[in-house]
Amino acid sequence: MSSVIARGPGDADASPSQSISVYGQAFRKLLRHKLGRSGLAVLVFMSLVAIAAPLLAPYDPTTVFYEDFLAAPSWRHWLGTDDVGRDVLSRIIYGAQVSFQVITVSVVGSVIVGSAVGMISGYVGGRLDHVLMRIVDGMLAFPMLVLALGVIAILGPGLTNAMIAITIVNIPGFARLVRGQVLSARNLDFVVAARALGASDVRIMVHHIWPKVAGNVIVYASLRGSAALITEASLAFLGLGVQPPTPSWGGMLTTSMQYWNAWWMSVFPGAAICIMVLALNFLGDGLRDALDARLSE
Amino acid sequence: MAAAYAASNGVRSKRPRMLDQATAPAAQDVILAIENLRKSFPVTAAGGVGKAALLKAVEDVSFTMRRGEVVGLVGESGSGKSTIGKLVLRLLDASGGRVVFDGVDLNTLSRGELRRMRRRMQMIFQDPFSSLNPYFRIRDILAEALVVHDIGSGREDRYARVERLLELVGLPVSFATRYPHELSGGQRQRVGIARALAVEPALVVADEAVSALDVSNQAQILNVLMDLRAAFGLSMLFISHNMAVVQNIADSVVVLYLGRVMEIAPTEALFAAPHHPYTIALLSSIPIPDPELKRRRIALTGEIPSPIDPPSGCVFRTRCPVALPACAEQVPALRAVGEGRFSACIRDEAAASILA
Amino acid sequence: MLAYPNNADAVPATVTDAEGRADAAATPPLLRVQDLRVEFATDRGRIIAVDDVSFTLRPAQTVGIVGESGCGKSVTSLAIMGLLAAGTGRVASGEIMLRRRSGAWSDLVKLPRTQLPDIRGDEIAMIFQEPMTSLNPLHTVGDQIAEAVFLHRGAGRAEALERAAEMLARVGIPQPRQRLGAYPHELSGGMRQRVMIAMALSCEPSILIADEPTTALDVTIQAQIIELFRSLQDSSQMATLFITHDLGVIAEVAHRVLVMYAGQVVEEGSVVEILKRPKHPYTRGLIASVPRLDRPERGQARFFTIPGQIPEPGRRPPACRFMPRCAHAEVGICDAAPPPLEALPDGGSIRCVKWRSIETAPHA
Repeated sequence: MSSVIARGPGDADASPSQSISVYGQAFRKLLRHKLGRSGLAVLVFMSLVAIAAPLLAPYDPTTVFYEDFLAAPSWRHWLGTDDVGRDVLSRIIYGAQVSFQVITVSVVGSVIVGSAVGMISGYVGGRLDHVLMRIVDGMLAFPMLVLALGVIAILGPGLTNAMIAITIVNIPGFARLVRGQVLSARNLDFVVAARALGASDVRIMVHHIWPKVAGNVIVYASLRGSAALITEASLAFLGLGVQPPTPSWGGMLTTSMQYWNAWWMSVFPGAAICIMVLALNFLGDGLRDALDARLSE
Repeated sequence: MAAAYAASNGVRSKRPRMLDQATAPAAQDVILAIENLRKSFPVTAAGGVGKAALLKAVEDVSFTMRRGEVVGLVGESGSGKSTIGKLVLRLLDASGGRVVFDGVDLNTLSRGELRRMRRRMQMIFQDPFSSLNPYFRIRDILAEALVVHDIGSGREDRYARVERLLELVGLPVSFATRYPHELSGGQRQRVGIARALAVEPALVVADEAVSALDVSNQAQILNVLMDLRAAFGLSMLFISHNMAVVQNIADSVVVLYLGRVMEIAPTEALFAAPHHPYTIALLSSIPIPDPELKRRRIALTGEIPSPIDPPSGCVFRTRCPVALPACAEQVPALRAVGEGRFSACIRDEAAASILA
Repeated sequence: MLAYPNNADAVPATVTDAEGRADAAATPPLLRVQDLRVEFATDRGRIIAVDDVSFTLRPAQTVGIVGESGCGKSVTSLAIMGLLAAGTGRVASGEIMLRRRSGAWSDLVKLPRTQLPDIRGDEIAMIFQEPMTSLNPLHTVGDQIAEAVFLHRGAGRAEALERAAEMLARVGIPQPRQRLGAYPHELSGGMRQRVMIAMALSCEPSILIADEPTTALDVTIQAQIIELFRSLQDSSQMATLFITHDLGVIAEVAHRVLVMYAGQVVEEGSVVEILKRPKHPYTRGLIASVPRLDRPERGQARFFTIPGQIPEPGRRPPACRFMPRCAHAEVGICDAAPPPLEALPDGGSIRCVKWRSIETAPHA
C-alpha cells in the first residue's frame, strides 16, 4: 500500500504534546480533587504504617504489661493499655494490618467474582442472565450483616472465614453494577466496531467493555471497602471475626464495651475505623468526579 | 449498478430464490445480493403497558451491488437504511430474507466462519467520537484488526503496517501513539477509515460516514474515500441522508422510505429525472445555497408515518401528492421504468403530473 | 406545490438592492451588537470564544450566522440571551444594545441579571436545535405555551390557553385545540419544533433567535419548517437571528449573512453577495466545499477542500486566523497584524487585507 492521499498542510502541525491515557487523565484529576487527594493521602499513610508496624509500634501487640492494665494514656503508653495490660497504640498499628488485609482481600475477591458474573450475565443475556440476576436479587434481599452472619454460621468464626463472608456479601452489588454497565456498553459504537472487525466475545469483553466499566467499579469498590471494614469490625465486635489475641479494631471495640470508663480503649480504635472509612469515602468521591469527568467528555 | 429483482413481494415462494436471470448481472460480478430482506423489532407500547407491537424497520428490500460499485442507500429517519447496513454485516440478525456476500449466504455461517468473513467486509461509523475505543492508542485501535485476523508477524510488523495505514488516510505517523481524544473529528474519522481498511476488505459499509463532520472536513473525508476507492477498487454501500453527497460519490442509488425501496436507479439518471413521487419530493426539498435559484418545491404535507403502524398499500401514499385510491390496496411492486431503473409506483405519469 | 416566492415580498422594503432583494437598511435597528467578546474559564485557563463581533438586526430582517463548529455562532446567540453558563462563560467586553418595546435602548451586558427574565421570552425569544430537550416532558404543550403567556402577559389560564391554541394554529399544527393536551413525546420532531416556535412567538417578541432549528429534522420536514419561517417573515415585523451551518437553509431564509470563523466575523453582506460573490477566502472555500445538487461534480476526481483543521480556541494564529489554511496567504502581509473588519461600499464588510487582489481569482 502506498500513500494515495495528499496530506493537508494543517494536518501536520498537530500539537506535539504528551499523550495521556484516559486513566492517566483521571488520576491527574483525582490529585486535583481536594477530598479525593486527602483520602488517598490518609490511606497511603495508613498502609505505610501497617507495613512498617514492627518498626513503628512501641511494643509487641500481644505483650502483656501486668503492672499497667487499664492504664490511661501516659508517656509510657501513649494511648493507654487495655483490660489485660496490652499497649493500645501498638494494637491499633498492628490492627491496621488486619483492616487492610480484610479490605483488600474481600474487595478484590468480590470485584473479580462479581464483575465476572455481571459481565457474563450482561453480555450473554437471555436465560443465563435471568437465572444469575434472580440469585443476585435473592442475596441483595438480606441485610449485609445478616448474610455475613449466615455465611459465618456455616463456615465458623475466624479471620479467613470472615473475609470469605465479606467477599460473598459484596459479590451481588458488583454483579448488578457491572451487568447494568455492560448492557449499555454493549451497544457503544466502538464495541460494535470491534464486533464488525471480527473480534471474539472474550476479546470484546476484556479489551473493549471492561475498561469502560472499570471506572465505575473502582469508584464502587472504594465505597464498598469502607463497608467491608465496618462489616469486619461488626463481626469482630460479635466475636465472630479475628480471634484473640490477634489485634483488630473491631475486636478492640468489643472488649472496650465492658470497660466504659476506660474511654481510651474505645475512642482510639473507634477513631481509627472512622478515619479509614472517611478516607475511603473521600477517595470514592474523588474517583467518581475524576472518572465522571472522563465519561462525560 | 444496483439492480432490483423484478418480482418483489406478494407472489414469492418461501424457498430461497436464486438470482433472477433476467435482471441480475453475471453472478461473478455481484459482490453483494440482498434478497427480500426484512427486520422487525418488538416494541412495547408507551409506558410499558399494552400489547407488544412489531416495528417493521426493513420490509422486503432487495438489491444487488457489483464489485467495485458504490451504492448509495438514502432515506430519511425511519427509512431503515442504517438497519440494512447492520444486516448486511450481520451485526443484526435478519427477520427474513438473505444477504449473499460474494456467493455466500451469511445466514448459513457459524459464529467462527462469520468472524473470519468479517475480514472481507468492514464498516465505517457515523460518529467519529464514539466509534473509537477511548482507552486505546491509535496504533492499538488499528492493530486490533490485524491481531484479530492474525495478519502480520508480531508487534513490530503490525505497528509498521499501522504506519502505512496512517499514511494511506493522510495522517502523520506521529499520531500512532496518540489517544482518540487528542484528535479532531475529521482526524478521528480518518482513523475510522484506516481501521476499516486495515484488513483490506472487499466491501465497506459507510454508515453516514461524513454526516457528523463540518463541511470542510466532510469534503476532505469524501476525497479520502474516493481516492481509496480508485486505488483499491473498493465496493461500498454508502448510507446517507445527504442526497448531494450521494449524488457525488455513488454509482447508483437505492431510495428508501419507511423500510421499503421506493426507487433504484443509476445516479445520474435518478438526479436528472427522478421517477418515484417520493424521490421527486425529496430532491425538491433539499435547500440549495443559491438565493437566486428559482425552483419548484413539492411540499410534502404531514409527517413520516410510524413504522409500527405503516399505511396499507404504498407506504408513501399518505403524503403523496398524486396518490390514487388504488395506492391503498396493494403494495406496489418494483417495476422497470428504464435502463437499469426500478420504481415502486403504479403511476407512470407521476413525475409529469407533479411538476405540471 | 409551491414556487419560491421572492424574498422581496417578505419585507416591507424601504430600500431595494440590485438583486431585487429587500434590504431594510433605512429602518432603525432593533439590536446592535458592538465589539462583543466572550471568554470561557476552562481547565487550561481562559479561552476567548468570540471576539470583535459586531452586527445589527433590523425589524422584519433575518440575519443568518453561518460557520463550522467552534466558530462562535452559538456562543454569540447565548451571549445575547444572557444564557452563558454562569461561572464559566462571560461577556468580557463589548455591548449588546436592544431597542425595548418602550423605545428606549438597553445594554444587555450591563443590565442587572434580575431584569433579564423580563426580556427573555418576551422581547427576545430563542428556539434550539433539539426541541425534545427544550420542552418539559412532564407538562402538556398547551400548558407550556400558556405558561410563557402567563409569565409575561399576566393573562388568566383560560385566556392563556386560548392564546396557545391560536399560536399552534399559526405555526401550522392541525387540530390545535386537541393538541393542547398532548405531551411532547407524543409529537414528532417536526411537530415539536413547531411547538417550540409557537411558544417563542406567543409573546410576540421583537427578536427571535433560532439556533440550528432545522438541523435535527428530516429534509422533507425541514422544508416545512423553512416554509413556516418564510410565512412568519411575510406576516410580522419580527427580526430573526438564524444560526445554521447549512448554506442551503441560509439561502432560503436569510436577508443578510454573517460568516464566522474561529470566533470572529470574517465576512458580512447580503445573502446574494455572500453566496454568489463571496470575497473572503474562507467563505469562498466553505461554499466551494459543499456538495450541491445543482452543481454535481461527478466525473471530477475530488471535492474542493479547505486544507487543514479549524484551530482550537487556545491555538488560533495571532494575525489572520485563517492564514494557515488560506491559498492566498502572503507572509509579511497576512501575518503582520490582525486584519480589521473593513466596510465595503455595498454595505457589507470583510476581514481580509488581500480581498481586492483575490476577488478575481478562481476558487482555491
